[in-house]
Amino acid sequence: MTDFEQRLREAMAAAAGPAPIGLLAGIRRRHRRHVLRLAAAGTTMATCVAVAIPLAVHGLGAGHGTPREVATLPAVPGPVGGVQPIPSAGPHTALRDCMNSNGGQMSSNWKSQSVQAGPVWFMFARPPASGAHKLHSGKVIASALAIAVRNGHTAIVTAAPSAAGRFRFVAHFNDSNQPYTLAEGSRALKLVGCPATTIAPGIPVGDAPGLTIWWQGFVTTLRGCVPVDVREPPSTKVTRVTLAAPGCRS
Amino acid sequence: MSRVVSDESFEEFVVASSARLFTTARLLTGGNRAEAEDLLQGAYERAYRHWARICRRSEPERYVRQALVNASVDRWRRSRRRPEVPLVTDLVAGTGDCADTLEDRDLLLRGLAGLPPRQRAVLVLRYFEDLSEIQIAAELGCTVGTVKSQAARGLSKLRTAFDTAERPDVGASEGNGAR
Repeated sequence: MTDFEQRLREAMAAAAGPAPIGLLAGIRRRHRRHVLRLAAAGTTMATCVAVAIPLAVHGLGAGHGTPREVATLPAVPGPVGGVQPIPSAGPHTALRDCMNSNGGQMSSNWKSQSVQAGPVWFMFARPPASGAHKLHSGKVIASALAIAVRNGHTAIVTAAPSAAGRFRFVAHFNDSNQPYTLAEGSRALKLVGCPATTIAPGIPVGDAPGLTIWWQGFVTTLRGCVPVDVREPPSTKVTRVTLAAPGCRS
Repeated sequence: MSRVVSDESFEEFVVASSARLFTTARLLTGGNRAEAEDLLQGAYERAYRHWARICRRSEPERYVRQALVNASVDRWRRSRRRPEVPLVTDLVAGTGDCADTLEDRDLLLRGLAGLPPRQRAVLVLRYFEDLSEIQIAAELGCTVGTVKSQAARGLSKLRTAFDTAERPDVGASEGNGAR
């Protein structure tokens, strides 16, 4: 070390002084501000998404429904913000009922691009129409689709055993930038349609009469189509259908 | 780890490390005390957010120091767009030494404050924090070669500034006073 470096070292050492007074209090104040900012941002995001979801489902029925437009569906309201958590309907089963229906207007040809299993419709999920329905999140793909059940009917949807460990319905949409994991999802969905005499809000009779619709997120590590089983309790009869998940081309 | 235990260990860490890190912050900011305090609070607050993870590492101080360096460089970039002039330069070159030494130290610290922030950071980490070139490279996220070149340029500029600085003629003023 040269003499000059030594002098520099001594000058710096001589500049040392005590810590500022009230540092800990300042850190805590700053941390509280940070938490408040986060809370405010979360509330804003939740509000935006709560508004965006019905609008997006409405957007489905803007009268087009071509596969290309359908493929862009989850990009707007996909699982990026907060909405009401899905109430539980038993172990590993999330409940969707008339109260939390968030369906919107359908285009007139939605049926041709959807998959039906008994009283349940998986809207715009007909393989291979939905290859672009994806939001990547690490190894897990998060996406969303609209699911409808005929009013007055109840159905339980589960991933087929072959996909059971690799597919979950998301319990709730996360705040932005929060990755989705399989652990936080539900294995099954219990869909309870509105009473048969009720017309679900926002559904024109001519487009999707008698259906209760939800916007539902899911996470999967599959890179293909997802087989799901639909059962209408108390019947034990299971109908298996295939949904287009990101990467599904069959 | 429970929050209470975590809070306690964080407070202990702040008490133990704040004096040294505050001096580092002041050197990094060229002696701007308010800015140094702000940087230090911000760096500690960041550490507090991730404390459960950070305290498991052996060197939480390194995390805060890295945050300080990055924040000081970011702030310098912002200040180039909106220049601010600090009202007070806080770096005092110690007391109890002879006038020449104090004056030299003062010149060195002023010269340090005039360096670009990366060069200043390298010199502070090298000569105040006593880190090796390898450690500095790891903290700054650059190569050892870059650390060496930044240190050499910084020292060269500092030496030039030091050699060409005008020093008040102490002897003359003493003579004037005697007259």
